[in-house]
Amino acid sequence: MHQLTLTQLQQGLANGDFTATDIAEHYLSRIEAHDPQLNSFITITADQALAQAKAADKARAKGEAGPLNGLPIAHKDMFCTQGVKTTSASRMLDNFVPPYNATVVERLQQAGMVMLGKTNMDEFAMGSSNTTSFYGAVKNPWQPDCVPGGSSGGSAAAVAARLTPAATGSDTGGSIRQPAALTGITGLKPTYGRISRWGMIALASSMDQAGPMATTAEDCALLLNALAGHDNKDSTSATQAAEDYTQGLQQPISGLRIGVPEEFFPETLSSGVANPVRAALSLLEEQGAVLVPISLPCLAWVVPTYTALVAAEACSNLSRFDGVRFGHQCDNPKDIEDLFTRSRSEGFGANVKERILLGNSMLSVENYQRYYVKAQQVRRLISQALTEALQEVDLIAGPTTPDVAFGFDDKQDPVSMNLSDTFTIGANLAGLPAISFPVGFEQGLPVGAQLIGGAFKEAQLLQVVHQYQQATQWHQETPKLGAAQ
Amino acid sequence: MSLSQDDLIRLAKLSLLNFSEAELNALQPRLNQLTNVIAELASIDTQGAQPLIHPFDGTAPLRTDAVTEPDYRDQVLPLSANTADSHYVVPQVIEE
Amino acid sequence: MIEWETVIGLEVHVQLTTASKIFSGSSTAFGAEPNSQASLIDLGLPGTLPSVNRAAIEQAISFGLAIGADINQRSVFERKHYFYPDSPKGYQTTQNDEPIVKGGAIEIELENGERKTIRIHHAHLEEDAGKSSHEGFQGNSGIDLNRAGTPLIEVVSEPDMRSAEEAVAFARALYSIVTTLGVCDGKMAQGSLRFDVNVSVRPKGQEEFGTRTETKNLNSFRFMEACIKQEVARQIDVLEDGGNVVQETRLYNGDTHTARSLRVKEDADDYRYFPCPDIPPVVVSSEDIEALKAALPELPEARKARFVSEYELSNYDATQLTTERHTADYFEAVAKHCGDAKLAANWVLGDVAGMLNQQELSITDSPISAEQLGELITRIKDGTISGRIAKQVFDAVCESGKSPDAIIEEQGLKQVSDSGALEKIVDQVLADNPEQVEAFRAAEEHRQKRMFGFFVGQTMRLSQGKANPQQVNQILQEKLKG
Repeated sequence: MHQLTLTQLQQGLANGDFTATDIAEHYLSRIEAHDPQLNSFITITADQALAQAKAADKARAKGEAGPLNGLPIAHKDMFCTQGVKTTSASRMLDNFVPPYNATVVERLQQAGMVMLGKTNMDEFAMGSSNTTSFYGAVKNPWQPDCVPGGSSGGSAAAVAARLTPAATGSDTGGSIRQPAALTGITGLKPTYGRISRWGMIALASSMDQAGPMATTAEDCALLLNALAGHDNKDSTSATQAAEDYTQGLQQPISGLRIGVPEEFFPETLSSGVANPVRAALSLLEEQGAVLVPISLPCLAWVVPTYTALVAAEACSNLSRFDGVRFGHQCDNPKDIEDLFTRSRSEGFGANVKERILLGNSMLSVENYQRYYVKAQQVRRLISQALTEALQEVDLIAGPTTPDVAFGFDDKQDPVSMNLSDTFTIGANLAGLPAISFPVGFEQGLPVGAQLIGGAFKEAQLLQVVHQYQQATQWHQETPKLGAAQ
Repeated sequence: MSLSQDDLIRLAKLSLLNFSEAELNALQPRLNQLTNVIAELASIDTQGAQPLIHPFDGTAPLRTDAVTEPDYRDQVLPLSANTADSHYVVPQVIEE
Repeated sequence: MIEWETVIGLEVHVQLTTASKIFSGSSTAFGAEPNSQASLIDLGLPGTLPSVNRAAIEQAISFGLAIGADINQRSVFERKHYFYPDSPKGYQTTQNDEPIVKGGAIEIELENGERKTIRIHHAHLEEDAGKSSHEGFQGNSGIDLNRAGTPLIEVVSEPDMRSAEEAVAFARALYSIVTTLGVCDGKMAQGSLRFDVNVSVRPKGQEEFGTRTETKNLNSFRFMEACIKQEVARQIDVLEDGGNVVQETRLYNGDTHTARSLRVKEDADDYRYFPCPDIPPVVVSSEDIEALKAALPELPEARKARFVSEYELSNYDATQLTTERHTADYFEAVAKHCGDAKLAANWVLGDVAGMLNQQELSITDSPISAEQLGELITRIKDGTISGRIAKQVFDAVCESGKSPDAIIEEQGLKQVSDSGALEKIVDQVLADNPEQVEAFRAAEEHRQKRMFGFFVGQTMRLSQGKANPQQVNQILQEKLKG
């Protein structure tokens, strides 16, 4: 059953081949069997899942089942879940049980989805390796001595290992696409504002965007149908009408112009990544797309720009964690400053603290104009360059990451960690939609390709990847669990 | 741009974070790697470029003035480590 | 001997009168159970996001229009970072680089009639903080976040004031404007209007400013005046002793009437402002601004001028009546009803003000309505009752809520103007006081004038105050001639 996609599970439910309860029980038993090795979940909500599955079966019996009714989902642990611990993988929130749902959670719950649990991640979504979680690192199901990527590493690993057919993630600089690439699944970061941020614990508010992670583009489309749409609880939520993202999937891609920036294929790019990505582009070309070589020199600037801006927004967003109203509070504070300082110092991990210092440095008077405002100006140039390129071509394509999954011992310095997001950051700075999908393997580890589209062109991204996946099997490859452990 | 030990101490104070000397020593080179990356911005020609603060190019939706929120005390006070008499309790605050 | 000049600038926090908070749908009502009006957003819970209240924007714009300021059609909320337990997010959402109101001016008038224009630098929108209380928590503090997120405009003046008197006149003028607009309830005891005062002194004639201190959170005009005078004297003392004024924040204690240094301003006061990424720019259309302009009520300065020209009131009375919008409205309703503005002004500023003051009521809660007072004055004018009886009727209306006519009728207070009846009373008085009558008649004319009052008094007493005094005069004069 776990080899089925969401779409196939949906058909099985409609046909009466199995019930939502059967599905939930199956996945819960897989989580129980395999997650101790992967550590992809922080919280498993078995009782709640079975109750939701039962309710979904009842709704179906009454003829009230929508397209997502009874299908399982796992939520990244930065989406607030009413009555269920929500930690952002931080000791700071180890005791935090929100009395409210994130809009993402609420919408999927309203659609009848069954929540299996909350997935592991980098602490407060800061990272690309899922090694900074208070709850321990997540392992890549393809090779357990490798990282799954991050920050949505738990969601990616869980979907790759088929412990859930789909999961939610969030993407600030690549946190959906990079782990999707490193675990061989499909992950979509929609246009900024397409999915509400209400109830999603913030990293960098001007870049954070939630999105679906699943094995296929078709499943991502199905989820996006429920997730997309305006939310008046989020003032930055887009007012453009959402679409039926499944509708155009079957359309051929002939005539589609795909820009291929030379900067996405630097000389230093390993052939193990470059070759499968080029092969994928060739396949799209065979399917009728037109490949257009382009140049985007501004991509060289994305890492410094992103590093400055994320740190600034994150340190501000994290200042509400003061130990007073929620979250970790230190014992026996001797005065108010001691309460704040020790609660924060004990609650945050080393990586988070590092970024808070950096962020405050960016915002302080002596650096504000020189670096923060400067970074926003560079952001303008990057955004303009991408937007202009997207007037000439329909999509921009390249590898999602410069490398396949790395080992736990590699890349521990902060700069190389950011460099692994080099290809993904541009879409966040400009707020554009982008998708990562599996296109092959290098030494047993998945390789992902990325497509970046124009604002609100999610349907087109999903269509192209769906067409690709109709012609390939990479997305059907599954890691061998157990044997590898 | 390079952060000195004194800069870090000042930033830590501003951030309300405590670091041991050993932690600061370990932090300094890591942070300076990041600040070196950021310093690359200085060489980029941004003349005439308006800062892009946000990719959302809309304006703030304005909400009608109406009381829509209930009393949340039963749900939110238990989230705090220290409350009494419907108040959040903290060590004596001297300033007003 | 150096002559010193005082330089004062004010920052005034004006609590707006919206029903809900600036970024959430929580009530802003005063005096609720602690934390019962603190929503998920007000508490800064993780993942929650602000939604801007249209009414807060409109009230700020109305204020800007009232003081002749420029309205920024695009204004930006920023985050101002500092840690304090009553500031739930670790930052205050406020406006900095692009405030909604820029410039403008407020006219003040001093007691000697001198007028002066105080320029406004800008006014910005921001959220209020919660409150800490220090009693009842065993040496700890209790935090109530009901006030957190209440909309404020912070009005920042230029350093244009040169004395405590000018500062108070400015504060009062601002009070009149915001209460007239209805954007602030003016309840100073509840903190609806709070003043931060920046004071410095310099030798007269010197161009650059001296080092200033800031005294925070004054919430009465009286405290403000006392505090400024004290601070000016303190600074002059320091300077004349050869010392330097230290730039610092001071806190005034209204109980002890002393201020103490709170903290010395350091470079560490780095608020790390940046545009709030959760709130896109607020943009208002010219049409919206025009509509708000059209809806502005008559402002205190204009109303005062009209009261002087239209009702022929003294400048002093007009000022008193227009300081607070509801008082002015009340007065105009009374004047319209009775057709005698002068009498109306006397009553409103005299008996009505005294009664409200004594009962600690605001004019909107007055036990005697403007219509009732108008009726009462009408009855004085048409001779139904005498001025003395009128005071009695006034008290009875306030106590019972009945109309003046009903009370006059019930208690038989109608003035006796029937000359037959009055003659009888006068005859009685003359008969009861034969010696005084004889003495009067024997006296010279200039002494008679003084003696006449005795007979009037006796007649009024015998009539229980109801006799029409003019008629009594006439009848007495005739009868005493003999």
